[in-house]
Amino acid sequence: MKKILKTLFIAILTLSVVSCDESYLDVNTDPNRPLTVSPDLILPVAQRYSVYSKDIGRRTNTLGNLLMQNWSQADGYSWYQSEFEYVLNTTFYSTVWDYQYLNALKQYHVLDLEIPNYEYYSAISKIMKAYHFQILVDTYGDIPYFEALQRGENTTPVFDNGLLVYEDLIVKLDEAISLISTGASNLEVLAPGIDDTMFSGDMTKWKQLANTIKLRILVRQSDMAGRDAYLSTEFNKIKAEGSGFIAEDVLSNPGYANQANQQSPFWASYGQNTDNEYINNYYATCATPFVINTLTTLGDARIDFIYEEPATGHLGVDQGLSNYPLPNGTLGEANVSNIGDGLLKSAEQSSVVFSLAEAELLQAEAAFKNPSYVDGDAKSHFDKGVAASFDYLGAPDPTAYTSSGTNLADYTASTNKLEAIITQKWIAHNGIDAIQSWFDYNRTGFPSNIPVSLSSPTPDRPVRLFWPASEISGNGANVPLPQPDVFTTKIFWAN
Amino acid sequence: MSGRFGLNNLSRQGKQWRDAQPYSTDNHLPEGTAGRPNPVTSFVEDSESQSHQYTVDFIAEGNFNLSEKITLKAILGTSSFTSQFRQSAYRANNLSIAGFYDLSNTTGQLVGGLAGSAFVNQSERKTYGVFGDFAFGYDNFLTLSLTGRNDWTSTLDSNNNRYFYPSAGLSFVFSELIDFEPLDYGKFTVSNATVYNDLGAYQINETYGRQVGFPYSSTGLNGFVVPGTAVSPEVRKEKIATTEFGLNLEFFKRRVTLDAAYYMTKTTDLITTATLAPSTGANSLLTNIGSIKGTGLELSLGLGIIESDGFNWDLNTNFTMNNQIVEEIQPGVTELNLTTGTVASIYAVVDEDFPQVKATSYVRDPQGRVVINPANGNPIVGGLENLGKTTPDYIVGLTNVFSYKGLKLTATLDYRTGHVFYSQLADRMEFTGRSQASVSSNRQDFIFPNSVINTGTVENPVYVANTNIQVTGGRQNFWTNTYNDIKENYIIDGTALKIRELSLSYQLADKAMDKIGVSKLSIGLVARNILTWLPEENRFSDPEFDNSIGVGNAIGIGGYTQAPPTRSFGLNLNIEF
Repeated sequence: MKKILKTLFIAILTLSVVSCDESYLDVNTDPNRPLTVSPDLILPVAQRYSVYSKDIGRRTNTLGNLLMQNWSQADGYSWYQSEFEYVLNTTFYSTVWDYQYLNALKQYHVLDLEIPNYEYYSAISKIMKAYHFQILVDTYGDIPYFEALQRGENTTPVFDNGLLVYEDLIVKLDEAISLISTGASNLEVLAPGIDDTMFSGDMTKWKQLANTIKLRILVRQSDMAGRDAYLSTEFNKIKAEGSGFIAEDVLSNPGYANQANQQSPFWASYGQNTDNEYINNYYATCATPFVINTLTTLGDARIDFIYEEPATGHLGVDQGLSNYPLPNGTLGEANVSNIGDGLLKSAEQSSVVFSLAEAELLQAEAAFKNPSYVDGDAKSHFDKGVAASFDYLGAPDPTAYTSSGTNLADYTASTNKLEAIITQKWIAHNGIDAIQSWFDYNRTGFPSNIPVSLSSPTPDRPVRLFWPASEISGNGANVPLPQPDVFTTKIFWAN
Repeated sequence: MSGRFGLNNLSRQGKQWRDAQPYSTDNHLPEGTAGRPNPVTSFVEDSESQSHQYTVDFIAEGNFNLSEKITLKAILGTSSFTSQFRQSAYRANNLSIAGFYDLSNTTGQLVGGLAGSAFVNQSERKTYGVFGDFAFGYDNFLTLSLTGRNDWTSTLDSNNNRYFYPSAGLSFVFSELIDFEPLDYGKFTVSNATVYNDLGAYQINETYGRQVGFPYSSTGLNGFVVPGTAVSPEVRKEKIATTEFGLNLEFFKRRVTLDAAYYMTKTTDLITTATLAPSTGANSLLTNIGSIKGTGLELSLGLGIIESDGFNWDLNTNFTMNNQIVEEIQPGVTELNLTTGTVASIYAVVDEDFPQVKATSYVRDPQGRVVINPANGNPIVGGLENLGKTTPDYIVGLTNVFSYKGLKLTATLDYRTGHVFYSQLADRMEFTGRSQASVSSNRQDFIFPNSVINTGTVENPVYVANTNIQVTGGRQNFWTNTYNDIKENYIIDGTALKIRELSLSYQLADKAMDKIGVSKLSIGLVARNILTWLPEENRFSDPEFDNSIGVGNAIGIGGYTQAPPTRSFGLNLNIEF
């Protein structure tokens, strides 16, 4: 009897354990962190990443400023040696690749969903993805695009041809614009509001930004042979769409404040800390003689806003000096022109995503190359672009400047119109989005006579960057090896 | 038959605080000099944590005599395990009133004191299983044991959370059959077992985290980051299959003992957070990869060298050797980065020892000479090369115990060799100019030793010895840039001989203790980590410093942000009632 009871007991026990309800083990949902999040909590972070990919030190803006002789290094600092020596390798400014793919593009990509009511967020995602992908193509040439951003589903995306990527970016921007139109007639569309730190949900402005990014993509191809028919078709589409281009600077501001991690990124990187003390980056960074001379020769009032004027007058330092002159401190931070308060405004300053100056000067170049591309003539766009730059920096009287009769400042008086446009773009991008002026230089060779760093081992600066080590270590089979010569192999849109 | 219930409860409370430390501006540095130390702010942090662990077992045991010489001991049972944990930490920075350490004294908002500025962290996991253990004995010297266990876990999806753990072992006490006077005991064992390593709670969830900087107080805008770690939908437990052969021998009434074990392991489906290429849009992928095969040998020899009434000397020496080789990772993948570095990192490389360190290297000609760039005389920075194993080939340990009456002296040392590590400390010392290499040429330009230039083409190189081109920037830039970029310079031999412990203790005699009323009293001095001998090339630090970020089995990056290993001296007092 006892034995039977015993066996029965074991049987019941084992059965009860084995047939345990599945819900007994259903305790694996993380209570500390959410599994899903609504799009209005994702978008502002994506837009933060967009401006952080540009304005934080050693990212695109810094790279452009150093390559294009906007910035140099004061005595007493060993800050920019790799940049002056053009020590290009697979880790040099690899953040341009890593940060855009792993932060900006990753974040925008989850908003690009084809589900009902997502039209606006999907459109914003496509527009900003095009913004970032273009910068990647302009820096690296061929990039993973069609197979990219699939996370664990495709851990080895193939590299796509840069020109094909460019063409698909236009397609995606067109899709975005038509999605916005579709969304406008959908009563239940999820509408961005305060979470859209760029336009607060004004979708017309998004259409204008889409057109302006298209403009940048198209103008970049305007020196390629045999692209005229394609460019004409695309420019006509923009005209037909009707929203036009941006009419003011595209700024992003989520509510910057003078607190840790909440300061405007350019201010936090090159201005002051939360105790209102200037930081080391500010003291280390200064102008070059080339940019001071150029601005002075042009009689450009912006010089006092782009650069801070020391008591002894504007002074620049050559890049790559191996021996700073004696006595000590001759070229120290107190005597050289550091970054000016037209660029470093406050801890709360809005970040620039796309400047009106660039939009107008792009239209100027388009009109110059072919008057039927855009509305308005080249000169009026040129004047508006320069005025927009003066306006952003707080410099006075742009009209005096553009009618001064000086070559490269006054469009009518300039002998080489393209040089005038590109040189003004270079000044307008100074400290704001200087990588664009590097792309322009690779394409056009302007501004002319721009010197090379004194410690450069090569006759001219690089024209692209190496595909980074992070991509080679994770996706090595697809990275086209050997890597192209970064000093001579230009991106496809430059000839 | 028995049931068992176990409960483990741990609760902690804590408070941390720090006073503000402003630095005087009058500190002898010239005005306008940047780089003064930043002032240190005050804070107070309140934290608590609770953890509960419950275990419930039911076991039925039976002893049976199957025949005259064959016995069977059978155990059947079920067991369940639940673990719950909760912790919270609140922190107030920049206190208004100095010296008043309370959370209400904050000038800003309260911030979370846990990882990622979180306030609360909870976790729970459960497992349950059924098992059986059957041990067949033959005439007391031969035993065959067979076990099996089926486990269910909460940390994996329900279609993938059942695992079976079998094992089989045979043990043969052959000394029973042999009549050899010195041999008191001899046993030979062979066994095979399969076990699994589980994933952690919540590990298969892809979750969002709040972005640092959000919410912005002026707008109330909040923001979350798309998960950086993707989780493979087929992720499963890691499997380890071990076969072991063992030999235990005792001679001369335990004055000589020898234990030897030789084992072979095969680990498959290693749970790995593999670093992905940035273009995938994910930082890493939690998945199972490949297989690693290992062999190991453990020998332990104990000798009672002197045994007398007063003075005793016991010696024990042991030797361990463990070698792992990566058999495969994934189809088409020959290597995998296990830490997040890109210029020096720990890799799993197919057909190489695991773990392997890879770092940027010199470009060398077929004779091993360094190729330099004729334009500036600097060595060319090459790609990542395999530079060695980061776990030792073998470890030898030695323990000596001398005792005389109540006095006992113990000395332990160990020696390990056959491995390398990447010294971040050496790397950083180069950058700041504190390294010996950077002054080796008096901070002047010099001709890089044993260097060549390529006078031919990339396809058909012709290497000519370099006798006249000097490096550029020998005063500083060469060392902070080119030389510092070649991380091969910082892969250092990890050999070390350490005296781990030296202790002297005295135990009071029984007679003395009876008078006091205690059963045992001993007092002793202990010294740990007394001496370390390192090879000459390692003038930086103890190779056992570890700074690896990533998978648990990726070791070999020597850090510079932790406190150095310490030598300690202590006093022990042991009283038993």
